[in-house]
Amino acid sequence: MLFILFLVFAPSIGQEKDSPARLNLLLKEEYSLAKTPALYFIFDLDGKSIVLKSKGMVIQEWKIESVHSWGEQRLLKTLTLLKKSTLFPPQRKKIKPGEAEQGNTFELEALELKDMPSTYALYLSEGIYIYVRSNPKKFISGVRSIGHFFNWYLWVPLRNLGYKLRKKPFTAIDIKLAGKEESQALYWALADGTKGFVSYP
Amino acid sequence: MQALRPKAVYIVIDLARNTLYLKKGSEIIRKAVISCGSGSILEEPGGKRKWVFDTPRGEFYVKSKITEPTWVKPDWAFIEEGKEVPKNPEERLEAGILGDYALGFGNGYFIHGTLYTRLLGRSVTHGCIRVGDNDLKAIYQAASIGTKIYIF
Repeated sequence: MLFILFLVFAPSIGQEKDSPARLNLLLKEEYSLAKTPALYFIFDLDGKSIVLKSKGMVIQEWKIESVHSWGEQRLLKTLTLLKKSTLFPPQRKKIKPGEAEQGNTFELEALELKDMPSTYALYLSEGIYIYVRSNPKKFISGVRSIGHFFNWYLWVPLRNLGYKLRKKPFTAIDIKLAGKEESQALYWALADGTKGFVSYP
Repeated sequence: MQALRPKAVYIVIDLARNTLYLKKGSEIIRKAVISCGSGSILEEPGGKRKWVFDTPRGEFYVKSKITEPTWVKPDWAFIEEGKEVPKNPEERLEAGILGDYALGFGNGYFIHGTLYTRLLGRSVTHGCIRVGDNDLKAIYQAASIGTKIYIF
């Protein structure tokens, strides 16, 4: 049992927080992203914020209310957002040619912020999973929170153990944002293929 | 990294909130309610072509500035209305619906005006950015060729 607990609560690896080597690595990683015309993300777990940047400039920022993690803390490295996963992904509307001309009353058919999920997982390269959620306000959100509890404290630790036994890297990070809209806006802003990195405490 | 940042005014477009910011450094000079791409899909009958009406994301720059722009309707505009795509190029021209100014940022995408001001704040366009008249004038006057545009 102790052995299992040891595997599950793996000690963190990584450099000392404010060491010049770490800061240098952080700047180097960011500079390699800032040189490109693409937007990039930084999950700053110590500063409890998520930023979307371009050319070293913050374009948008989201404050993190709480953060927890399982698995290894990794050395700073550029990651790619491989995919976003949610129970009910937003669906694009299909336009029927000629429908607008048939005298139908105008109906807005568009993907908007309110269509985005507020609870979802981000799959990054190198076996890193980030679970994003917001503060539950309504009953259904409360039910989702219970689901999240079982996922985070039962399923994810088992996955961590499984990856360890297979000697594969695994990191799961749980992030709670203040409001539903913040969580939805983050989902909207991070497109598949976006690059960035996670900065651990 | 400071050297990479724009020194002059630049534009930030928040697609999720349909908001445009004209900024210099960290200062917001102007904030405008806009309309962005609907994200809807149009398929040509017969399945030959497909369009996804997203506003592109990333870093761009102003490539052209036009006054009193005329819309050259692309094929999808006719297909969406259930009409035949005209062979005569002059049948594609539609004046007066893009407002007083337009700023092009590549691949046929523009920041331009709109007749549908009641829909500003909603994601209703086919990819372009629609702005109200007063805001558009201010942005047009402030921006120049090469002004950076960041869209997320």
